[in-house]
Amino acid sequence: MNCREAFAKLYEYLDKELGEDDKKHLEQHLEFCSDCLKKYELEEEFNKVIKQKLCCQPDVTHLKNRIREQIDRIDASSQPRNILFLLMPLLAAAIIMLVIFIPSGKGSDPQAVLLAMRPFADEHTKCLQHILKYDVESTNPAVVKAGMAQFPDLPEELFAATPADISIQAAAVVHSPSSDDVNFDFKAFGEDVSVFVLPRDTVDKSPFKKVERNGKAFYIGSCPFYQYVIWACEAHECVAVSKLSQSQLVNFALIF
Amino acid sequence: MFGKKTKSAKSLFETEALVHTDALYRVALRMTKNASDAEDLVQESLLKAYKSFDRFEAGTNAKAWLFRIMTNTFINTYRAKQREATSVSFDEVDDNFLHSQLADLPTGTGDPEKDFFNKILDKDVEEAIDKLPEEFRVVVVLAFYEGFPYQEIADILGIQVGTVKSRLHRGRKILQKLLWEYARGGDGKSKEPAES
Ligand SMILES: [Zn+2]
Repeated sequence: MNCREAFAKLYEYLDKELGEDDKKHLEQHLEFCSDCLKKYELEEEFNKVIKQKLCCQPDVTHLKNRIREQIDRIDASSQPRNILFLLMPLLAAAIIMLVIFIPSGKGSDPQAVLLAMRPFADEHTKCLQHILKYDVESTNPAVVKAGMAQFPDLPEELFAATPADISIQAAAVVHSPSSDDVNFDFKAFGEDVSVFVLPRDTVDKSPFKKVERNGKAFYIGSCPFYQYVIWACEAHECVAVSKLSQSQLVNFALIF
Repeated sequence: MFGKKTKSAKSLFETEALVHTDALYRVALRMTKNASDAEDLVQESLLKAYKSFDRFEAGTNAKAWLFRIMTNTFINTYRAKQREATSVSFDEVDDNFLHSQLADLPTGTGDPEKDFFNKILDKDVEEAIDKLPEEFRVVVVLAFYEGFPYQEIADILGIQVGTVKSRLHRGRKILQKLLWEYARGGDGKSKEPAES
């Protein structure tokens, strides 16, 4: 490496951007070339001094608070907000559910069921990608109910007073071309439970285990990570999905 | 399920994005050259980031992502507002400018290099950076303030690594020349590098 080449690489060396080979060659050059070493030391010092003089710590407390306020305002407004990434686990569950739920009528070939399901699952994914039109976060059923008033025909029983260890955490409406699918999130027995509200008889319940409690029918099933239970809910059908055990989930469904 | 996560989106934004507010502000201040524009730029950028936070993948480089948003916002909105103070061409700053100026000083009294660095005030550095043409200024600030590697600066600005390298090189040389002039008592404005 000659002086010109060395000089051309000084900044990269200083910025620790030089590859191993170049670095070795440059260091070898600097060892015997005092002229280049001097230039390097000057640049190094200049770099250091500039960085020192720049390292101000501005007080941004006020600015941060202003931004937090703006964020709260964004959250509070009912503007559509894409929180799809937060929904990913839910989305996966929803697709799995749909794949399992769709009436196959084609015997027991799971592959055929999956293939038949594909367009529908894709469609549903698109629906979920549609912005959530409504998103309320409250542990108070009255608040959720008030917020959901713009979507009539929801089962009254969803807003029933809940035991202390169960709370409504959020409710949302997912718009789909055919309907508005409603989704409530509950916290029950320390676990998250998502409840989808679908029109009656959307789901073919024949493949599922039917249990009767208090004179009501519950259909239970499982997919790899979630248990679910389906029950009739006035003119609707509710599907609860959770990592709770099936018996816990049925107990959860029983409160409605 | 997502009720809980909606809450944590905000706390995720707090730890992944808002923690960089001071870094963003420092850079914004040198981009816009005034405090109120800088605050607006940072706020606008962070709110944009919040609204598209779903596009940010957790675990990836949030800081670079935020700076990319801010740089784009600056270019699209604020740059138009700015009048570049310098129409000065710095094309011909000699690579060895500082070195030879120092070498040319009469020897005997102390350490000229140390004297030079001691004479540089904090505000001189800020002023000199503000005088850099924008393309150099942004690269210099990202490198000096935030220590971003060349590749990340390239990604933030959407330019080639080679361009980052050459702009940083030129930016440093111009800074050296301006600061030399400050230290010599000039205001750096009247002394244009046309003489070289
Ligand atoms: Zn040499």
